[in-house]
Amino acid sequence: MTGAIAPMSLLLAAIVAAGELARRLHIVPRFATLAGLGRRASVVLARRGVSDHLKERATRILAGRMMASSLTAGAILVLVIAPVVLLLLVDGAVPLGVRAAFFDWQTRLLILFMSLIYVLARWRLGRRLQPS
Amino acid sequence: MTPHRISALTGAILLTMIPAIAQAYSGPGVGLGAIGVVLGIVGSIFLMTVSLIWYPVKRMVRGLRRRPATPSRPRDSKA
Repeated sequence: MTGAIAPMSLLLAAIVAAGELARRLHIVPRFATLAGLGRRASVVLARRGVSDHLKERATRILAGRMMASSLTAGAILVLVIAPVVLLLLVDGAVPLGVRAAFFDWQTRLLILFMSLIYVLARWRLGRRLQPS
Repeated sequence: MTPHRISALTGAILLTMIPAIAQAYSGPGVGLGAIGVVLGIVGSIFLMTVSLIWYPVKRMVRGLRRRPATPSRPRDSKA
């Protein structure tokens, strides 16, 4: 267990980095935008009393926006998980014991508790630092 | 079923019996995000298809229906 402290710390650092990236890059609002675009597209397609010419233009614009939004959200998702993936890739080249720690249930449990403590501390700190 | 297909199917079934770690786990957040991205791309392709094919074809069919039938040339009466 003592030998697993270094890989566990590395994994925890990668998970924290992923969480911070997710917060900084605003990944959740991007998916909300994507869902909103889909809703708007369904409303446009189902709307009556609008000419087909206008619907054609609107769907074309919405399709472009939806594609751009999806690709951006996918790229951000890749960026967010990059620290963990990079760590696992580095572990493949230079054996650090990260993969072994990744599949050890005790280490996972510890990482879970420490991540929860981090999230709680971050939340409290975020609330305290928020301007009133 | 051809012998090639039978051997491929047998190989696939045998591969599933090897107890190796796939190391392909993705968490619920990443999994749902990936599904969302794929749905967005599929939806945008659908919308593009609708705007580039469905509405122009609909307009064309409507135009063909509205176009008055060309009057047929009257036959010369020999009587």
